[in-house]
Amino acid sequence: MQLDQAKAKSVLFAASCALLGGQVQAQDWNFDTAVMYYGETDRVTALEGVVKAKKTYANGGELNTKVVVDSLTGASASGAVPQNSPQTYTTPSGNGQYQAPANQTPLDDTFKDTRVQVAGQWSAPINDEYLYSVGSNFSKEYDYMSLGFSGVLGRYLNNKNTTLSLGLSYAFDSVDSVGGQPIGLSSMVVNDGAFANEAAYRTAFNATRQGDGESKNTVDLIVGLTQVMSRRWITQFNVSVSEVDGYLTDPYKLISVVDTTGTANSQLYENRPDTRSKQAFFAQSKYHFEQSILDLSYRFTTDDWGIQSHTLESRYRYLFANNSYLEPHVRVYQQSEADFYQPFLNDGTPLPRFASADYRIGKLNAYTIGLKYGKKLENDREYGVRLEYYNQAPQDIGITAPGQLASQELYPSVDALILQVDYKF
Amino acid sequence: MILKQLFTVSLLWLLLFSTQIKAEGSLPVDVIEEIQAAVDLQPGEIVYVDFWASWCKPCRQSFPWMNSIQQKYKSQGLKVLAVNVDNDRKLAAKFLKAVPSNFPILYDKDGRLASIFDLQAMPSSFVLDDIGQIIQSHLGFLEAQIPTYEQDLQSVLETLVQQNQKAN
Amino acid sequence: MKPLLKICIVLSLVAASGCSSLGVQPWERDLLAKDEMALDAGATDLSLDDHIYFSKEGTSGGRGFAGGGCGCN
Repeated sequence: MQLDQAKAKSVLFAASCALLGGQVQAQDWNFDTAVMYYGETDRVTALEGVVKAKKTYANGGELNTKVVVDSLTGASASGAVPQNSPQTYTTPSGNGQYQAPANQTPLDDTFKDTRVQVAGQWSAPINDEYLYSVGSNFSKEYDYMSLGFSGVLGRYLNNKNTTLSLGLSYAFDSVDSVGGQPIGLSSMVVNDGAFANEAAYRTAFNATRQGDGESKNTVDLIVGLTQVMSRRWITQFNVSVSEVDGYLTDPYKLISVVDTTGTANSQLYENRPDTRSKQAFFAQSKYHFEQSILDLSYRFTTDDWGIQSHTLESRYRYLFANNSYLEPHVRVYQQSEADFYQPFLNDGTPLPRFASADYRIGKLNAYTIGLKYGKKLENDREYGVRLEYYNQAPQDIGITAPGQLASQELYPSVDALILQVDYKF
Repeated sequence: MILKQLFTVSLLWLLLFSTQIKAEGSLPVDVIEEIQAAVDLQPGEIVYVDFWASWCKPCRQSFPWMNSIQQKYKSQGLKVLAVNVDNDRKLAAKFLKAVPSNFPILYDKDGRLASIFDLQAMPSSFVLDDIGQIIQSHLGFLEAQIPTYEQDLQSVLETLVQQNQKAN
Repeated sequence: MKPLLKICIVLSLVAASGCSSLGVQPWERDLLAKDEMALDAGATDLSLDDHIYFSKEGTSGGRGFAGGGCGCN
């Protein structure tokens, strides 16, 4: 469920876009394929396959198409607090139950999900000074659908040493989760024998549901400046703003209400605001030394949910004489929590309007270290293998953990291994 | 509010002008002589000078066309010269192995000729007359534009024929 | 929001004035023309990574694409 909301922010176009002019003769196709395995310890595993096809045209235009298929299985932390006795939760559909063992982080009901994404993009020069790009992407999984469009206008200055770009994209996402969306901050109904009959349970369960599917609209604006600094050095700076409107809550996440002994007396479905306004600043530098290339980038983001993040990333590609390379990769990420993030709610305190215990919008430190090996072959073919380790460490935001929670692991780290093989031809 | 501000700023950027200074008029005598010698330029002939590099993708399309015009218009007094600006000669050799040429290559490793011609883009081509005057130039190379390039060349050759007739 | 607007204005001033002195001649773009020096080099890897980080973290996006390369045509 988590991986389905990836809306392609890259510029992509519908392949059916009218091609320019009449005398366009297609050049050869270039393909780029990859398979990636992502595996968390005891949690989510994913397998993703990508096939990209690129065609260059005689008028300088380029058509890029992409198909991605990914399959997810496993479960993530649901946001409920661990307890010293086993816990029972109702499945999203209301048709069953799932358990969390004692003293273990409660996870969502295990799921298996497949997503398909199709994207297309057309880019072409307008004249010596301007170029443009238009794209579209469509993504589908059983309970989720996303459709997006984007356009970029680029302008060259100073003999193409400077490039200014302006990009706009729009996406429409629609979610129709199993059992319908829960009413925010309603209490999870668990059939533990207290109901007179199945019908009574059903009525109570349905009272926590808010009917049909929900949707959201996203508009992104990105302004960019690319500057060639020297024969070996190129830099890029982007500023982007994003406005999202609609259903932004995760329908599967919970927040526990605990009493002074740290016992969770009820589980509430989380609730997030229905708008989000984000801004990001991104800077990148690529420098070509004699035998190696250093890529360094920094991204700062801020939004009106109170989340701020810093991302520092670097790749160092060492080039060998036989057209092969070795590329270590490091990424460091730091995020501050959303204003409405709380690891749990306290019984007796008034219910806030918005609340979420999803560690992914909490205070978070993460790092990735990886290594890639690749080799160029004849006829513009190339292959690569990449192995990475990703570690996420949710941070304590300083809330006192009452009673039994003091001895529970409320901020468990998650680590994952990433293995990817790719081939270009 | 922020969106509005960004839109205004973006529009301001896009309204910036850029000027292009194209090489016009005369080249230094030693350069003219160098080019004339490279193709054995005869009086009344013209030379199509093309600046290329192994890393320039459009050059892979321009070479076959230059081969064809050399053959087609040789009798009308056209000579073709390709000036290579690669830093590493081996890369140029690799390109030539894959993309054959039946015209002479001049090597301009340090970009001396490139800067005298004041190239504004890669590739760039210049048509010079027999006394070294630049009579036509093109920036870049697009396969879809080949008919236009050829027409432009034909009109130069026609003017040349007329001039030669007048002279005789 | 305000600091971001300031960055925007600075960038536009830089683009308007300072950038004309930076850069290379069109015939000096050999290294920049290399695939590895493209700003979207490893785009497949980057988009697969983006997908992971979008799902596992609270923030996403930011990268652009245009510019660089051989500057041909």
